[in-house]
Amino acid sequence: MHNDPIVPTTEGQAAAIDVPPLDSVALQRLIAEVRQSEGEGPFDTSLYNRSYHRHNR
Amino acid sequence: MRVGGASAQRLDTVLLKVASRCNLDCSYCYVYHMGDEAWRHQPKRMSDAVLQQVASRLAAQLALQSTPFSVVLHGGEPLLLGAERLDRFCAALRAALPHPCGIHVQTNGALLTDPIIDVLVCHDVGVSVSIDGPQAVHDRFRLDHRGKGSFDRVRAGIARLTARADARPLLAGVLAVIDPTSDPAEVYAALKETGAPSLDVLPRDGNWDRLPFGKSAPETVEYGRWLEGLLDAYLADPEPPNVRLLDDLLRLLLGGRSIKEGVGTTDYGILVIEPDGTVEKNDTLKVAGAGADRFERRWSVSEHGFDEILSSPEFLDYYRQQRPLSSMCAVCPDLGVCGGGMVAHRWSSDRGFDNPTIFCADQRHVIARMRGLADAIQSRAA
Repeated sequence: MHNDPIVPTTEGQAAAIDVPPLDSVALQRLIAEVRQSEGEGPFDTSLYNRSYHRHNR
Repeated sequence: MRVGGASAQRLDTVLLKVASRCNLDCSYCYVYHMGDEAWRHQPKRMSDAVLQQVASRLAAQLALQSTPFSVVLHGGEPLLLGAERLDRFCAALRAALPHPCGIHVQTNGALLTDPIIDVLVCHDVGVSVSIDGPQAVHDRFRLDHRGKGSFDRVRAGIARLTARADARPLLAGVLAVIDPTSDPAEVYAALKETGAPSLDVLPRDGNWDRLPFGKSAPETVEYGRWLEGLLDAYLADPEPPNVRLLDDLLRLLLGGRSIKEGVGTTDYGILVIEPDGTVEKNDTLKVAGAGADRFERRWSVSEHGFDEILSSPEFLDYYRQQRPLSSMCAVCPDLGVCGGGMVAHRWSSDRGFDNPTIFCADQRHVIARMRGLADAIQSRAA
């Protein structure tokens, strides 16, 4: 089977949700994490132990 | 990792294929069921002699580069080594790669016995377990060689690990391959129930020549909708674990950085060492066809140091391949978040890797939903 690359249709664009769950614990945690990392210089990509390894398997 | 022009000479992650066989026979496995038969020509297990060469080469590389790296015991099923050989391997690797270098094992979990766990604790080896969700979802594809589902054994292995106070901190995460026909909320709940601090999900492998399972056409969004459902479950959870893929995408949209390959535009020096000591490219490239993960030149730890491999033109070509070639990607407003997806998923026989990922529509679907959240956050803050 072969498929030529095509531009995703509008189905690829999700509809905006009515009430964004902005107060979600997960989201607030990520916002805090990103703010905390601001101004810390180059991202430390070697935080290996106790975190999931990089390889996508 | 990409830090200036010389970055390609740094190692980031080494996949150490210590076993070429597996005790399970998952029907979707990219190692055994995507057309690449190279595993048949490898020793069943890495020998002590090869492991010593690997450890020596890695120690030399660590001395050369300024940043630590991570080694992942991989397979096949790496725990087929057995406790004694695993102990020797981990001892040699830890001696060569002291902290903060990471040593991990990616396992199907079925062989997580107490003697094995003792070894992992002794050498501080992080554990990541593949489990696809609740039993009905997991046992649909993750079968043993007799066709029996593996869920009970995998779940028991994880329970043995988490029951021990000395071993529980080793559990880095659980990883599920997505069945787009499953209920993402049920999968989220089942993965969270393992007690792992981090969850992750992978789409089924495929490319432009061979559509992934459950995806009816390139422009459809079965995986995008599934990920959106996972996102809903995640955001609604008052006590959420981390969800690696969703966190990476959201973090990028919020102005932060990603940590996983195949997300965002950070490049990583990833190499695979086969049981016979051959050094190869990222094994996920097997999805693009038999041999797509091999360098033209045969590199081996018995003959070559990593500095020689990492500075070779062929390695640099492979390293640069992480950046998408497609003109569609070049003008896409989501490129900084999606990064073009996994290289293997861009493949087509007539255009090579010069395509967006086959999951382009799916990724843009879930990114659009996340972008709505990020915009709302900015509006609220303004």
